[in-house]
Amino acid sequence: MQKAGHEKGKTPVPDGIILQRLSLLLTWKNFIFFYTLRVESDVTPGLLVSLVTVDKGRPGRAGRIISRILLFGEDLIKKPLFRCQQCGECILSHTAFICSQRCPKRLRNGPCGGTRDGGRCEVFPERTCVWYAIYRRSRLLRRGVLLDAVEPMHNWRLEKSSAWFNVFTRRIGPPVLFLRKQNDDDTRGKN
Amino acid sequence: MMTLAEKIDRGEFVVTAELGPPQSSNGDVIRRKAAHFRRGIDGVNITDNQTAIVRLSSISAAVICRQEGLEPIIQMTCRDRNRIAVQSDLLGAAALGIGNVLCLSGDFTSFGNHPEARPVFDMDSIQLIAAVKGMTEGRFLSGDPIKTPPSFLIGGAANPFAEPLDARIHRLEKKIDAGAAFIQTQPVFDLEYFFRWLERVRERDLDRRAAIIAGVMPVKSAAALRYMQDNVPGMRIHPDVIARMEAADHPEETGVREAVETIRALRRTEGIRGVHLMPLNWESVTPVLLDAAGLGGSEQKEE
Ligand code: SF4
Repeated sequence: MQKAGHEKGKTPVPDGIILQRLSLLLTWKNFIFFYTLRVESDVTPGLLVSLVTVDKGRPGRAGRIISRILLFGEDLIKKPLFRCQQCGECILSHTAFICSQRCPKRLRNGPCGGTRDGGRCEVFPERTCVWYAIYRRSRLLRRGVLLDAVEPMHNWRLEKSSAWFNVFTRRIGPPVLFLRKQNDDDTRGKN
Repeated sequence: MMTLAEKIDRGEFVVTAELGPPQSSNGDVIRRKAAHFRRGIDGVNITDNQTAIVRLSSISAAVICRQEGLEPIIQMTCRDRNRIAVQSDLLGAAALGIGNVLCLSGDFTSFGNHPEARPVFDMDSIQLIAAVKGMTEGRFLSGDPIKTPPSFLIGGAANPFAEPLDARIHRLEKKIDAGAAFIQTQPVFDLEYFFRWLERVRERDLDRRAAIIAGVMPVKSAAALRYMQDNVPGMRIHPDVIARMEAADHPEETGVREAVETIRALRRTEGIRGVHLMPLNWESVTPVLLDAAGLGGSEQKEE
């Protein structure tokens, strides 16, 4: 049996803690982007949406141009910060601002059954399981309730499109930035 | 003869077993393995290209099992099929008389003998469970109605031993919410850890909403255990078990004894509704195990 990518006895290198902290800090920057986006989409839906009408799931010409520009900006921000995989159906805000689509199986609803000791990925033992990280940070940021909902199957037509554009055109829901107080206490904090 | 669904409904203790189809077109291998499962087994899990190695298909093997008078549970992974293939295979399985399906995410392609293959993972196991549930209620994923909906007893898998524990419980709950009627777990080699998981399951009342069927694997040698610990992700083996296997003069007997003791302990436990035997290529041990554990039922009737 061939074992690609699996060398026995290889000890995994732990993630740099500084990098982790840094990425946590940087997410706040992204809050602002998301926030302006949300406000705009709330305030000026008429103009923007009419400009980019989506016909049978496909944007028109103006829409495609705007989408391309947005995607460019989105990539500049989300690629270095979250290693965005351009799924176009962003659930970053549900997953404590760690992109779940870095999972080799691209699971959208929590870890598979193979997570190794210490939260290592089944497929690439040298990496941390993204879902392990998501659960850990959700607890830290008290955003555990956001993991309760079952994410629907990925819409592959949105793959490689701009998630921000898709929020504008209401093809996907807006990100959840701030939780209301009563939602804060989540029971899954104790391990 | 009661079906698996009826037995689970009535709250009886169920025994399921795992059967791996061969890497060839030889159906007799399945018949030979099935012969060991005739007594005391309520359902036979047919693996779906386990560890991403190409094998005879799960549904075909299930049909052979049915001809042998066993009740098959097909496994369905998300690794090889997109949502079109999944639904089409499920319709086919139902038409062939298969009534149980275990929904899994599936081992990643890089573990198998075609590591270059494109992993599909169009959906995950929770979404798959929801999809099957929807189909039994007469809905395709597209929303179109199904004229003759299939009827399935839907199962899911749980790994009590992988980290993090709260994610495990959370996911289990999502699976049960999505429609899983039974849950099969990874093999238990560490009862202490397993009971800790079970406590959390009971806290959330999940054991009442779905039948938890605990995995039990008889092993032949300490080397096999150690191999699994090193190579199977998410496996937890208590060091005492390895030590006992190592010290044994007849490791096979000790392996059976260990498995029997695990079954006994599980049977006494509240919240466990059955055991799932995984005699990897050691099917002949099943009747011995069942007799020793006092679970050997009557001969299954031929259909
Ligand atoms: S758009 Fe998709 S791939 Fe990109 S960060 Fe969001 S969830 Fe991840």
